[in-house]
Amino acid sequence: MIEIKNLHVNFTHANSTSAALSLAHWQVAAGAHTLVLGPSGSGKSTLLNVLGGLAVNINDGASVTVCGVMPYQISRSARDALRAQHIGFVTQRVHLINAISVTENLRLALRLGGNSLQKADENTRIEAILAHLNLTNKASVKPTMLSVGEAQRVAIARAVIKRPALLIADEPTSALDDANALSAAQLLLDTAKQHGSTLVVATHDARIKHLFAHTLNIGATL
Amino acid sequence: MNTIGTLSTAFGLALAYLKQRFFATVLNILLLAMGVATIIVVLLLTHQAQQAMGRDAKNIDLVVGAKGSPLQIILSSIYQLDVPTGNIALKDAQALLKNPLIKEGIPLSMGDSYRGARIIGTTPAYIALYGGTFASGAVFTKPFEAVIGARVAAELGLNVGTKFVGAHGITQGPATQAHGEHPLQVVGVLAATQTVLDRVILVNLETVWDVHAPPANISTTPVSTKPISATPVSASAKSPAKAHNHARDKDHDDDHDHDHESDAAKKNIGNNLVASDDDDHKQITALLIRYATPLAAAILPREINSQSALQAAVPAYETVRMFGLLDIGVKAMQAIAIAMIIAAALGIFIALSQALETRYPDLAQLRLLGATPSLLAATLAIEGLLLAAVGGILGIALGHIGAAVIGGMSAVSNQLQIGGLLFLPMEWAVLLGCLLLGVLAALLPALRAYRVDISKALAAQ
Repeated sequence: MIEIKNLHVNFTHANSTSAALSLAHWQVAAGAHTLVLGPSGSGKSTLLNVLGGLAVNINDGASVTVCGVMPYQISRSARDALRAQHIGFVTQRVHLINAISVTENLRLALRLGGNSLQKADENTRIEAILAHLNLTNKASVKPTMLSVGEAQRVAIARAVIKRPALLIADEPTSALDDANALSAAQLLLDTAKQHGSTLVVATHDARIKHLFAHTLNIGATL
Repeated sequence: MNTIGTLSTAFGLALAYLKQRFFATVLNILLLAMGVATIIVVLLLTHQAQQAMGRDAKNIDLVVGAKGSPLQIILSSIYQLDVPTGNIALKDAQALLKNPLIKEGIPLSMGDSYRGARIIGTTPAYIALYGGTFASGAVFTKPFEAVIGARVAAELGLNVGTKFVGAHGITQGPATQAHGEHPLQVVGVLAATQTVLDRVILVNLETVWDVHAPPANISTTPVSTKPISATPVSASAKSPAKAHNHARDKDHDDDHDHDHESDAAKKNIGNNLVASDDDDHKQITALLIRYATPLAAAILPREINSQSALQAAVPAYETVRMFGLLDIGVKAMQAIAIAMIIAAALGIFIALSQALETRYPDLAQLRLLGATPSLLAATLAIEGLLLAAVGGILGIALGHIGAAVIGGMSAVSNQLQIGGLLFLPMEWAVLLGCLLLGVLAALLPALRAYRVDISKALAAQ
């Protein structure tokens, strides 16, 4: 599913360049659930950006393969299509589109993901995932009316509703208390399992470490 | 996602974002609508006024009246909007009509009105001039018979057979002196022509003269003087016994004099004016002239103005001159309207730019979800387009309402039958201009949305 070799990503500042991430070799099998650990600034988010085809300044000799595609060897629009169809993101800071309802947020994710479902099928899938995440009663409300935990669950629903091959989550539990942190992590694992998605979670939150079979310690590689 | 899917999604998002900032959206739309409405009102008023004046002056090459302002002669004699400059002697008109350069001359004698509708003494040729046909009844054949225009019939509820009493004066407002002893009877109602014919009451010339004939017992009444009249009060000066005292009052500002003739002396005039001794004392207000040859345009007005006590006024020239005078005001209004529209477009630009500043996290999320840069740009462009379209359409609707209100409020615009129902092709251009401004206003924000850097936007959250 994922294979990275000889990766070096640099941050360019005004007059200087500093290393953000270096990775000699990393491989993740399809369907695996991997935790990327490391302190703040260790390059976890950068790694997730690399996987999503969002990184700039990666070295010429790097080899990155995601979902069988080398995202940095294809055009920008093809990279957009790869991300739209095969990769689901849960960002560090939950951000839903406040102008539209929870249901419409999920429908938008489906459509942007290139699904060609009929509206009735879309509704069925939306209702199912909202029920699974215990959000049925929030279907028609705007995201501003959700609690932090509810918004987090909607963000996860939005990332998985298109049933991506790869699900990426960046610090999904950092802003949550213990109970909610475990609940959110478990939810990610459950939904990834349910849809057969490969899951990569970047965090510095040790509370959820025990839930994952595979880990990558970014701090150790720097 | 195909193009239709992209546009459909962008449209849905644009609509949602506009609804989200409802107050700003409404203000943007109203600002644009007011500018568009102003332009539409100016367009509708000027177009309809020009059209109405063009129709009313059609087939009239020259108007001859008493010495005074040519424009006033045109406004009073053709459009029935102003007061006449005075009267002219019938014998002068008769002499003029002998000129071979004149094909036809239609006399007009004005001075009375009925509930705001002017009563005009003339000949059937006046009806023919505007292609008038009868909806009911027929043309007047003897004194005190009246033919009424379609609009007069509708607004005043007059029908064939109805009797009414005209009043002295031709201005709007209450009449001060009714001619109760000389009721007029409607004998014909004209079909609508969309010309001045629709809003006047027509009688023969003898009616005008008879209505103002003095009763026998006041035959020694001191003669009337017309301080503003350009023509001598010939009847009073020469024949006090026949004179009719037209005490000038505020409402009687038409400066006409009516000599009083015996029935035997009454005669029809028109393109076959025949002089008689009695005609020496008669007056009319104006003469509408059609040339026999285009050459007359170069000769006749100058000849009349230089050699007689008459004033010649060329409708085509005076109308152009009048609109030339009004043009400064029209252009000023248009400039203000355009400035308002540009300000509205700037308002849209500012609103979209501000929205974009707060929308970067949304844009980043949308890109993560698979939105293409084109979709983000299209969303902003559609927002600008929607604001412009709604503002433009609302402005056009308001402009038409405004024109209808102005048409009903002002006596002059009411006379010119100005309304809000006409749709001008130019209005499509105004709407298109609005849409273009909307797209231009959204262009820069749309480009910025297109270029949004996802990783930077996510990092900035």
